[in-house]
Amino acid sequence: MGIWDVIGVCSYALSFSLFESLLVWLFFLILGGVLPEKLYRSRFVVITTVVVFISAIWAAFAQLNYDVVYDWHIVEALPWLAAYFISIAVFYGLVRQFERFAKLIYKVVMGISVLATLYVSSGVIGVVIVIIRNL
Amino acid sequence: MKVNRRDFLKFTSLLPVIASQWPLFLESNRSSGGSKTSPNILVILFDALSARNASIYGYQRATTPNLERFASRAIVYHNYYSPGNFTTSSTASLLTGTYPWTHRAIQMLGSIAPGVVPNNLFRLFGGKGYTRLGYSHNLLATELLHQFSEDMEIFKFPRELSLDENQFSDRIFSKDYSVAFLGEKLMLPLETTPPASLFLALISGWVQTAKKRKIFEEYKDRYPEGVPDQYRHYYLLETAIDWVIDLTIKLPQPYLAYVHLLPPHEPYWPRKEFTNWFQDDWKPLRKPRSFFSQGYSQKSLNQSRNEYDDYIANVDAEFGRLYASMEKSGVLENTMIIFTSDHGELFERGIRGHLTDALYQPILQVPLLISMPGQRQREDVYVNTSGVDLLPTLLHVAGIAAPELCEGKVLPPFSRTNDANDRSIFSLEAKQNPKMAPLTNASVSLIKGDYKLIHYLGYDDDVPEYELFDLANDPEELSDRIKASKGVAQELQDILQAKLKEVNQRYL
Repeated sequence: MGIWDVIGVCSYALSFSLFESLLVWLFFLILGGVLPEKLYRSRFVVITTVVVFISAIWAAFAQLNYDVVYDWHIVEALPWLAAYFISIAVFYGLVRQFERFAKLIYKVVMGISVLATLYVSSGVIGVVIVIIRNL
Repeated sequence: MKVNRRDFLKFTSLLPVIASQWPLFLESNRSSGGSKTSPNILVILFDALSARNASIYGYQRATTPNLERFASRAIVYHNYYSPGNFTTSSTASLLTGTYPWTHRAIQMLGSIAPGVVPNNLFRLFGGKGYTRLGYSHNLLATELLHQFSEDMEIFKFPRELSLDENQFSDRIFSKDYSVAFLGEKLMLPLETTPPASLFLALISGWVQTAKKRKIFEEYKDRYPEGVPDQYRHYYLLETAIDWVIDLTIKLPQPYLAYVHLLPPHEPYWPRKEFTNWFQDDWKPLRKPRSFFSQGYSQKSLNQSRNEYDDYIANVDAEFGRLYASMEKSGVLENTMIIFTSDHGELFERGIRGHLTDALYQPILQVPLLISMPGQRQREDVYVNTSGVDLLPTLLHVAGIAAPELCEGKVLPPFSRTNDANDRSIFSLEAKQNPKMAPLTNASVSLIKGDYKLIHYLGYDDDVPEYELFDLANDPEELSDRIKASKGVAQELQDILQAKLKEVNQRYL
């Protein structure tokens, strides 16, 4: 595999990740539009960050056990889904209850926004490369 | 010759007739290539079929009765060796006539080095009027065929014969399929490693499992153990054979068709009537554990072997159906049929399957039967031959000169110059070796005459540097003769080292 192909594989992965991130972002955007302002939109960035972060941890945990998780029937998944939603609810409660906690998360988000810019840029470059490769 | 007015008028009266038939003439000329004597060529490859488990080559169980029937009008090669021990490397050798150290498709899902791509079977048959078709169930071979897709009139992706379409790279990014597939494999659950995507992979995994359950449920009467799959493509062998039967009749002639079918590759899930086909007390010879042992017990290996043998019987029955159809339709009269495999399987020494660094006989010795158009007699060939020989042989039959890069030789009896058994036949396993680098982490075997030398490079201390077997007196490779036959060992070591030096030279 030549260097252009290696770049190609990375580009597909980056494009896919960007697409996935956009879907997640879109989901929360719609959620923000649907849910009452007091419940969600007033702390959109902080709550979204918390939910995405916790979901990512659970998803990573599931992927590490993918050979078991993919074979689950809904009944087997229920306790884990319950645990997931409980963890979300706990952190949601913490954000709503403790102003300092919310501010801390907001500060962290602002701090790593530079990385997010890099991530989005590299994703866009990936998309461009994928387009070029398929012309 | 003088043309008078009357002749001229006669000729002009024929013009409308000629004009009306012209498109038909063009069409027939395109499809027949103007060469009515060119035979059709059908290469049918069954993945992972070891000659050691085929009764046509003396296996204790009657696994291949239909192949034996086919052999009555074919050339049967008894010592035909695969140049690699898994699909990518061996199929690349078969299609380019070069050893893995030349084509460099040595890793899983690897591709052929750009310099070797023009040496492919399909391109070499270009301009000869052949309709060229390439299809593989196995995605590893598809990867290679895709590299040659511009040299074929018909290239098909595995999904053509799959019960489900779980891939997107072949549909959305067909132009850049090879690289896109690697990207997809990285992100989504297609094999036994965790995917990189967090959320979509999880959803995809659940959707795929639901689909799998649905397919298994739908076909459980025919396939009680499950429908065989690779990378979540589910295949029914009988459907594939029906498709091949159709091809042999409908493809514009002459054609060159390469069809690579997954069975009897793992998972060994035959159709219901072949499950537990061999319920006997026969026990294979017990062999000592290899330094490459994967820890399987003899009992577990025997069980896998039973399932594999059942599956071969299933494959054989389906091939028998294809053969009967070709007999009936008269296809055998104008078609050269090549029956072969890319590599074998091991059920011994603690090793199961073919994903191993070992190069013992059951993994390298594969069937090769060639039936020429209208052939009525069986012919047996016992000289050592290799997968790299198929390409020059097909070119020879079609009257095309073999390219310089080709490392194979025209098979006997097509050429009598290759009758001697003192030729060097190589096989290579180098999945861990960097692609474009000297071979420093590999297993290489050399078969010459009755002897086989295996050289292990870059392994741990518990792996010997060499093993030597006397295949004539010890076909099961039970006794390492590296110390007992020093003269032969030295001679073969010298040949092997010289070859390695030669092939490594390009990368130093």
